Amino acid sequence: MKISDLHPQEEQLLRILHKKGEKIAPENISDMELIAVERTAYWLSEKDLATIEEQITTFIRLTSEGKTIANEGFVEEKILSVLDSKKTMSQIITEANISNKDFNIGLGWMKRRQWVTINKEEGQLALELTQKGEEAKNIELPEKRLLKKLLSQELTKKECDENIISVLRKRNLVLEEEHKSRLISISDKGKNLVESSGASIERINLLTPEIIKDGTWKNKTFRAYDVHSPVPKMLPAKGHPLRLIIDKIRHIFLEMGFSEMRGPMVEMSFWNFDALFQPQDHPAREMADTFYMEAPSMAKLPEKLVQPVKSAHENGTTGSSGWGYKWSEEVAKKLLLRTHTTAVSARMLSQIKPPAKIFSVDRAFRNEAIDYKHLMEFHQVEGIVVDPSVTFKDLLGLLKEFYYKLGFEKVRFRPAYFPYTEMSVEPEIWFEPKQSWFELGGSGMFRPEVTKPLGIECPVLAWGLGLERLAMLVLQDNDIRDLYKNNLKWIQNKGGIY
Amino acid sequence: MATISFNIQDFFSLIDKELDMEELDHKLAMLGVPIEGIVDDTIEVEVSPNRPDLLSVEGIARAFRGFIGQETGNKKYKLERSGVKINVDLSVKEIRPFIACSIVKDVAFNDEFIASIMQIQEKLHATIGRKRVKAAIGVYDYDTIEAPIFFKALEPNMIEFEPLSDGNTQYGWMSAREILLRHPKGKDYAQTLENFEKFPLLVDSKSLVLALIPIINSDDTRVEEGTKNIFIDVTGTDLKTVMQVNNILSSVFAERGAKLESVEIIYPDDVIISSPSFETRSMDLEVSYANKLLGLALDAEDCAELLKKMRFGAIVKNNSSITAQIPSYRTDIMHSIDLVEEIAIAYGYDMFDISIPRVPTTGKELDLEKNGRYLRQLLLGFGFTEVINFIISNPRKQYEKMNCEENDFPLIENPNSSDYTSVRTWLLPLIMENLFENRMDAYPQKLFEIGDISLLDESSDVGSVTIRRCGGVIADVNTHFAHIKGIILELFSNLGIPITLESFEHNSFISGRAARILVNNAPVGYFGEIHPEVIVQNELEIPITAFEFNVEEI
Repeated sequence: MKISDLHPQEEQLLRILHKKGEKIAPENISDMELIAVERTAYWLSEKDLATIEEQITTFIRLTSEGKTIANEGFVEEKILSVLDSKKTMSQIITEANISNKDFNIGLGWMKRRQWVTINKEEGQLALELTQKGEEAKNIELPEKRLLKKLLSQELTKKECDENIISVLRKRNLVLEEEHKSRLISISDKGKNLVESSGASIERINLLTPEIIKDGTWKNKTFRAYDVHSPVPKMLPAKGHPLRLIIDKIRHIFLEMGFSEMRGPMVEMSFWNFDALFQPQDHPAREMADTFYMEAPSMAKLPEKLVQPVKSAHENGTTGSSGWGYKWSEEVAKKLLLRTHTTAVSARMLSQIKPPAKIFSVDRAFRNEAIDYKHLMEFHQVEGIVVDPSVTFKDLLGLLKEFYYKLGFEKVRFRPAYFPYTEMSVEPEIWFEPKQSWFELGGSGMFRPEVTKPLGIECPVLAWGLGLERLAMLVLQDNDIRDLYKNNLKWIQNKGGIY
Repeated sequence: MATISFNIQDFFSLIDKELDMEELDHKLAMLGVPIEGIVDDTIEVEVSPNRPDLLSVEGIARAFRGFIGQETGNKKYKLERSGVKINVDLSVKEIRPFIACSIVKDVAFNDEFIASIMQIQEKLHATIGRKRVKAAIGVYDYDTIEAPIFFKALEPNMIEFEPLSDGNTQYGWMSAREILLRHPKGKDYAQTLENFEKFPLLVDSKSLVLALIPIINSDDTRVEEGTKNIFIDVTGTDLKTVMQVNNILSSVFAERGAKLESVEIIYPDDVIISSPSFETRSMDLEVSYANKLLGLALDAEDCAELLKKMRFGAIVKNNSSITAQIPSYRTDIMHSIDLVEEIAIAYGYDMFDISIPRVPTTGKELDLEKNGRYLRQLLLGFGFTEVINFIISNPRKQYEKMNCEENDFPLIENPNSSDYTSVRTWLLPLIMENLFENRMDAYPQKLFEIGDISLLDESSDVGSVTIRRCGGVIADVNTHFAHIKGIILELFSNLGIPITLESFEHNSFISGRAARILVNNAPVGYFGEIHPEVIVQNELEIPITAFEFNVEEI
């Protein structure tokens, strides 16, 4: 360590301590402010350059009664001052202007001090001055002397006569007060540092416009900072962590040449279910799983598509048996909060011509109670690739590429089931910290019963992947509700997304 | 998604092979029956809704034996005719028209077998049975019954029998009405009968009640551990489902070595159906179709072998096509694309070489998102932190706490919580709530959200429009109108959109301290000082300025 590594105040204090050579109380260092001395002494002690000792000092303080007596004198002194040879009690009380009670206290102390003898005179108490009493008239009591001294200056217990203090304490005129104080001194290491460093050089601490302008920086050195010393926490205004993940995903798809799509949140059953070949008695369509709308209440079906979708359900399209039930327009008209963004894909399919690559990252809704693992609304990463050339292999490759770009290298594909895809795949990513596979949504190739009624004659790769579970993994959070709580501390402290 | 659990050792004995856990886990996942959890020797797997045939350990073992090549092709079960007749009365036609039955002889129950039979009934009821409405199962001690059997509906007061005891609880004789009111199963399923004047019943030739359908069996016909011969019935509203469920359940007994016998179901119109029936369906598959979809180069022989691994029968017709024989329990096979998926699963999802689609397209971001991206950048520059709120809200939060009148708004018909009943029509109420969430944090606080709202709109096909909004608040002792106005002017100036302002009255803002933002004379949003009433309603004690505008129109 060099002395130039120290903060200027550290150097200053170290040099003061070195000059002093002995223990010193911080308040006795006049060249620096007390707060600065205390703080700097702590830093020096952390670096073993100084030692801080704690010391307890007992001060003697006057009580309020003590203060009165210091000014007015003891009651026995008052009695003494009016007493010559012999006086009765009533004479004394009148002349000294004291109460009966004070007289009794005074009498006790006068006897103890052997200033008087007590006689009876005409049936009442009378005091007769002794030789000692006579002498006392001319001498100030040492107790009084101490009390007077305490009025004007602070004394420690060590500076006082112990016997006198004990008398005064008994009379409740003084009390003791303990004071903790510190003493600082330079350590051997500190001494060596100062002695090996030579004279103090003035170094620049904060660079100021004045220093830059007047050129003094040219002849001085800059104090080196400790790069490890703690700094105040800086909090940025920040994008929401979930937004950062959404944008990262959007970027990946845009990078792969996908166009972005968007559709209504309040959707008709037709696009959410029927166009996706989900039979009208499918459990996912029940109230327990889907939020239906009271207002608005009814949709206008896309007229041209009603018949093709209806017959796909009832009799199948070419080569398919269909579900074989009576399809109802009324059921298809029911409005709901879209349960998946695949509803938007279905809308797109009815509008586009291949080749097309389309995606969205958007909200979907399910009738679920909220807890640490479940939300009633969430985001889906949705996408379709529409082209005569695409195959199942392309679907797997695309999903793998997507997760790879997100930072997940190990992906596996499991057979799954969705009414609207065949093949159906659930991609899973390997999450190293938890040593397990995480299923993150569904994907597949749309069935002909989905694509043909919408006017698409070629294969369609499709996926609807969960975002929130992925976000939980990336953010290493265990309560999915945190994502929508908008706690500022949480938003500010979640990092590591990009 | 249904899950079923079974004993691992029992499974190994059914597949006649032992695997290490890692291999078992992988193989089951690749078959599409992923393991959900393992506790001691009990394994829990997930079964997808199109595969009710996998709702038992016996069914999974049958599929697994094929998948690993142990036993392939369509499993043929020996079926003898019992000669027993089931007469379906006209009275059930409007209630529960269809029934399928089987007789099972020489059953040898053990603990795992009993557990599996209980489980598959429960799972079939819950899944394709649609809570016993579409299909409901009954299993009886055949030796207590005397054929023929009658399926008919009677008025509830004509029905009286002793329902199946439940653990140690004996119920004694009860009327149908009592059963629905007092028996636990009666209470659970009473609603399946609530719209009918007559209740369906299964009785034998001596008028012994087998069951009140689809509620509860009689105690007289109860199956016990020592029961040797079993009668199964499945009733319901859909013939295909009823027969499928009966086939699936009967085949579980057959897989455990019992002998199956068929019965004749005689419908009121004299149609006679033999049940169970394991007849396969045929479907042709062009090999080129499979190859085109999968990106593989399989020949007809390969396709046939792969289908056999999935327990289909398969005949090679010629070089370019095969005929698949679909097992009776696979009603999910509707189109030859379903066969292609079976081939893909048998091939192994983990065995595909992967590729990237060669579909050259140029990507395009939505203008809306582009605007949002720039707005976000500007707002972050102004020191605003982004929040993301739920879109589902409630009128109290959206209007009452904002000192506003309730207008028409998208309302949920079946909310599951009083906190989440409507779709948000603006963002500020939620951002105010965010201020409440962070009330212990230091001020100033600046928050913004860019997100969707929904407004009713009769001209739209879905009666509403989804609109992208941008909203923000500043909560600070020193914030005031000029402050927020300065920010709005800078935002729009940077976006390159000329705006004009006009004074604006809005109950959430202090009167005379709010302005409307106009683009080409059309209102796009507003800003101002939030009314103290609203601040107090939101349990805050700090001045707040706020803005909200459409991202859509800018």
